[in-house]
Amino acid sequence: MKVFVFGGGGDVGEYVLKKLAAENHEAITIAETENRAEELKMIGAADVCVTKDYDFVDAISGCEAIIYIAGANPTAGENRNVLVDKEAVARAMEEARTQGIERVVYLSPARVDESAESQDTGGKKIPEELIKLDVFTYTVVYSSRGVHKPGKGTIDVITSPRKKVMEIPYEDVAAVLVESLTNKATYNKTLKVVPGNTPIENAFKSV
Amino acid sequence: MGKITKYLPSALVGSTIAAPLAYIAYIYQKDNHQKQHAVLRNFPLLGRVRYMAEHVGPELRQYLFSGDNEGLPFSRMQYQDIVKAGKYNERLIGFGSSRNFAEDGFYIRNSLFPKLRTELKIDNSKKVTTYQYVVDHEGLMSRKEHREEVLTDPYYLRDEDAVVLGEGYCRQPFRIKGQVGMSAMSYGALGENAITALSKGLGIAGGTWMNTGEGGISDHHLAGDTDLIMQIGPGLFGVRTPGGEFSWEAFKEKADMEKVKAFEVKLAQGAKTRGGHLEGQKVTEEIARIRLIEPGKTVNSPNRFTEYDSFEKLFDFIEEMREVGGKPVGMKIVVGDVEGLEEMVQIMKDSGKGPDFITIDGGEGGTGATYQELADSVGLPILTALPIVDELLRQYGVRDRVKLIASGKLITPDKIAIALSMGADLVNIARGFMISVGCIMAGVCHTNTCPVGVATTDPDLQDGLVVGEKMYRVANYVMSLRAGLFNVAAAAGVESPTMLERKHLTHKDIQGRISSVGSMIHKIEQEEQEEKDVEDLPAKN
Repeated sequence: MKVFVFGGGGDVGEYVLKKLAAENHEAITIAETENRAEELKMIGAADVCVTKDYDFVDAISGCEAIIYIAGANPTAGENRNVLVDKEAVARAMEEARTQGIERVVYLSPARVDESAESQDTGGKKIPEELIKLDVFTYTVVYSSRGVHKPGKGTIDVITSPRKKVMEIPYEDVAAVLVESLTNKATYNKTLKVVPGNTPIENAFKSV
Repeated sequence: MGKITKYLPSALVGSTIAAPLAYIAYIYQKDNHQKQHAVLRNFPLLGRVRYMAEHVGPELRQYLFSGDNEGLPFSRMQYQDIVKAGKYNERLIGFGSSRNFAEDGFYIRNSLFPKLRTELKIDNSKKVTTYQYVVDHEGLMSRKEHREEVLTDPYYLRDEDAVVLGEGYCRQPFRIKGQVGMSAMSYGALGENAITALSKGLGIAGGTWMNTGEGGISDHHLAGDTDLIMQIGPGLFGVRTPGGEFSWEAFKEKADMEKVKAFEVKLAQGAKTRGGHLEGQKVTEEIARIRLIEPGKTVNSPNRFTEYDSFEKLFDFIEEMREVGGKPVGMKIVVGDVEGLEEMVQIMKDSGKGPDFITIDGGEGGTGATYQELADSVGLPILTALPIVDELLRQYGVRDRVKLIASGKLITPDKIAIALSMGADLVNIARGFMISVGCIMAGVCHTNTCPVGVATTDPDLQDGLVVGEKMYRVANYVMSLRAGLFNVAAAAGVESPTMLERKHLTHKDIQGRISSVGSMIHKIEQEEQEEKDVEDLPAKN
């Protein structure tokens, strides 16, 4: 499957590119500079669109799905990686609709263990409402706080918030996104993902 | 019972006072009558305080009295830098540098337009699994911490920036994706646990190499997944016939090993100008097997190869090694005789022969046992020697075919960056790696009594060094050095530390005047010319 990854250069994004390549998907993403594009190709991107003004229209052409890691936007910069650029998401979705892309996997910037108030701060939840209302077959993923630790390939999908959840490896969050792409159990669902002991595919069966 | 209770306190008090007094009286008598020490004859008790202070002085200075930037060969601060990088992957400091900026020294010329992180040419496509410590609580008398598994960026060079030894000259060039590796340390000089931890740690970090030292390739060097540069010293350990001559058969066998990527012929090295001596009792079955010598028999190795005594013969030997082994062959030198070096470079130019790389060991180098006079004063320090070699190779037009590896107290990214700017392609570290596996700088490497099991083959002492723990510190240390190099490169305005050049370096003298490396070399040349002019004067009678 040809997949456009918004946010392929981020902590989760790099693992998404690697895992998509490992599962014979074709990952397309965007970068600010040629240098960064080369780096992302080394990681696993099949193609990288170099743009400084977030012009992804040509690159998204021919893609069958989108993985959107919120906060991802070359113009956002490192200091804005918490507050999602909802305009950027809206533009991406509009273009996706134009191109006939139906499948969207969205990693929310709101964490599973954040308070409701905090989840709303900075309009973090607005873009996913947009995705849900549109024509897409969506999966929205909330995860606990990501860390640079080796992935275990196991998670738990929870239904109600827990008081205290453990840190989850970025690699496992990426695995959830890539697995969701083709796993019909996740279609049109919002998943709350925390570290656990269930293999990802099995964890989705109980969704 | 009653009487015991009644007299016990007085008995205890009496013995507490009487016993020390009796001991003091005994010592007084003994010291007063001995003939060996004058100070003890005159001041029997106070004299002993002097010996005690002498004994514990180094420890007291290290922990209590020396400043953070005092102490040689490495200051407390430098030591802590290595330990923190290895253990916590922590390199941040607060409140600025404690370097004495009034002294002379080298500085990196920072660009007014440094490179952004995204502009640096790093290959972090393969993250590395390692362990690091996290401090939970730090109290006055205790520290609570736990070890965590983490994925970390290895900071490899991009493929196009990789440093290649022997490219275009041998069948199997050695491609290196990091500029920092382990200097020569033999099994025997370091214990098996230390060598194993280093091998495994370097293997985890990847993009680096391990120099076997002249003691040959041991199973412990092969324990990890790291590339090896096999060093061949005048003792020919590991590549010798039973009669002590060079064995091409044994050499071919080593060259066929996949992990062995290059060979290094060690010429007169400053610290080992005395030659080597291995006591028969130290020649265990294992060491005998590795070094291809007879177990239990003392081996003396000469201070230079007996096979050749001129550059022409040496280069022919290197050519043959390269032909037989198919892998790069370098040589390790200490620079002292600049005229001799110039002769060597001239022959390299004229003959088209020579090494694929030259390892320059600074006079300040040295892990283990040598004599004070050799350690202190034989050979130039690395930051003097390195630009001389680089310049000579450039002047004679052979720099493009020879890579330079520098060593000599280059244990932090800034020092490494300075060496790279001066012309080094790669940097070797020995003592930094010893510290990363637990060395506490006790200074007893030559006694086989290293208290932390690093520079000893004593199995009881080695028991303290846990391979599964220390190997991650080695890996973290290497990766932190590479990360630091990219930091310096960014500050200097270049995309990779491979692009650091002389122009990125400046020297400030004690008066605050600055000069470039190029002008410093020119000054050395001028002074040499002046010395030659003096030599032309009549000899003194």
